[in-house]
Amino acid sequence: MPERDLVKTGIAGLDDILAGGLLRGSVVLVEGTAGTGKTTLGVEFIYRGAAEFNEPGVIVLFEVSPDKLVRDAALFGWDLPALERAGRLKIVFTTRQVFQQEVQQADSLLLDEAAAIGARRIFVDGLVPRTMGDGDTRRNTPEAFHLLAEGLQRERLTAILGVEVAGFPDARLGASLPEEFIADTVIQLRTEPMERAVQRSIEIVKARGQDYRMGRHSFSIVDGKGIEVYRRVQAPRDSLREEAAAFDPSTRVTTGVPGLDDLMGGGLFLGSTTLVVGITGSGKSVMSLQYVAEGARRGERSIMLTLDEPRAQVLRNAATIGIDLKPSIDKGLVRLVYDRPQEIEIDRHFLELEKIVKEFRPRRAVIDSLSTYGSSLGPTGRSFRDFFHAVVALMKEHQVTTLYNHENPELLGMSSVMGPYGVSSLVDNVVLLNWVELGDTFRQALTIAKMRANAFDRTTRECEIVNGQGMRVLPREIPPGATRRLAFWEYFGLVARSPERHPPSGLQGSRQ
Amino acid sequence: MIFPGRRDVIQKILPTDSVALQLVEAAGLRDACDLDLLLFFSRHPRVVLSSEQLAAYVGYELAQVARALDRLLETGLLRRTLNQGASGRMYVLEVDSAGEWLESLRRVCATPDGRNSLKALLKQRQSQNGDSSHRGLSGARSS
Repeated sequence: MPERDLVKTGIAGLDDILAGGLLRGSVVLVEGTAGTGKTTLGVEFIYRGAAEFNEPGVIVLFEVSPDKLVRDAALFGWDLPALERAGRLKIVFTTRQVFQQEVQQADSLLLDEAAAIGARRIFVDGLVPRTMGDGDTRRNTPEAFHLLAEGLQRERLTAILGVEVAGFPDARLGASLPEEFIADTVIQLRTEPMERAVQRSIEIVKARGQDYRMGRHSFSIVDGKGIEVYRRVQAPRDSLREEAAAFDPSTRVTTGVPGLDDLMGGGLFLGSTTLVVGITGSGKSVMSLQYVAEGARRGERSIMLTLDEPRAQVLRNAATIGIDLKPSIDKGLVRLVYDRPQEIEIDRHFLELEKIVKEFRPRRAVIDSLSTYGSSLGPTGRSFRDFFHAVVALMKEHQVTTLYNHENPELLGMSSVMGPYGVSSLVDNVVLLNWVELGDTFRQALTIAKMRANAFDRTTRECEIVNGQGMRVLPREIPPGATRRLAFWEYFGLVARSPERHPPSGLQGSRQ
Repeated sequence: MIFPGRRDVIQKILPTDSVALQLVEAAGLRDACDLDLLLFFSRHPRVVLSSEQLAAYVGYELAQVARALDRLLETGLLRRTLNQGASGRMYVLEVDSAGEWLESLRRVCATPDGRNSLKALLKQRQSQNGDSSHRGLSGARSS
């Protein structure tokens, strides 16, 4: 297959969803309503080309005055006047009518100007479908646009044309703009309401002659940087990830919780996915902190991603169970990552997590908590499940042994592992943390409910959290004289919320 | 900036101010149309437009704009590329030859008061010179 001549846009994340860039000489429509980012995208395409890829460019404006464009570009750190002085950029102000006539002429002034600097790229801002033709009706538009596309193609310019639209028709009705049939690539920019917030999205609806990532991806316009596109979290990753998506059953990862590894036959499998489920206060975060601290003790890198508690709070919580994470953070063994759960942009969030995993290369990870993601993304639809699936695949690809905390709202016992978030089938291991009420006391119970490819101890065991020491799983048998309470094995139905004591002469032998 | 001592107060310029006179003379301005056309080109240093469209953008009669264009072309501040049969012509402001005074002029004209002060000065100079060939502000459709 011949190698394709791809033009990198240089816009963060855009080349990824374009599977490498735009085909050279393409005519690209960027459609959107006012304020969706068309001008920013087009100007960044030209700026990156001139500044980073040695491809001079021309910007054609109809409405925005060049000095305002220069001013706005400066907010992103793009020095357009410097590029003009260096002969790598020209900004031309004209009218749509003149532009239309210009590009159709063999000796076009505008295209001569482009040729004078060896332009390879052009951005035309503010095309309006109704006024593209000679008349004021849409029926002239396809022909006029076709002539425009021909003029640009003659010069082998890779062109981005910003097109102002009033809105997008329902694609199922097939009421697309006629220009879309002529253009090589069509990109739609939207601002979409998300509850009371607004999120930007970008969708490639057509890319003639090249592969691309379908669907609506998120993007942001970031001060000092420009556009950042975040591939939608559901978009398929490369096949390597799926191939690597398995844990290693020959290597164990210790949990750092005394007594827990014994129940698991020696610890978690490397690269496995573990769901830790329990009501608030049942010890999920404590277990996570011990898991991270154990990693640091062994010289293994860990990340703890939390939506529930900011970094300072996590450090304080750790201190209460005798764990000082600060030295491990300073040594580069532990990284705490906090993201505010309000209005979380899941595509951006995932991309950042992916970057951390690739750069920091942790062996252990904690996600605290899935229930907060669930609150942000909602239990209905596929968002939560797709996100979780993507995170699990990412961690397995990089062989990161990961704990996912999930807050189950049930105070005593559990009737389901994940409630409305039906993802427990995606995980390898499930650890249940419960309160059980015995007499006048709530006691903490731990049950391994699932562990793939491993024989494990299914008994419900008592555990305790001691200030300054953390969590530990208690021996099944309470040492004589240690306490006046009865061991868990002496009851039925602990997790089923109706504990009953065995008859004194009953199943004594079952504890063996 | 050719008036460094006036950086903060340059927008409060008066028609009688010597700075106003220096700017008008440095730019070779004869009337209000000259000024508005020069300011238009400073905001749009490279345009492809017809004379009629230029006149519409700056808000003066076509004949006035044609005279102002000729003056800017004569001074070398503006370069024009003709193209047979094309509806528009390319005008390029030669910013390098404009010098630092252009930035000062833009700062003065960034407020209505500053711009009106310069226009008043230009009108006054036209009256003193008895230059009847230029209609100046009186010929403007809008300002």
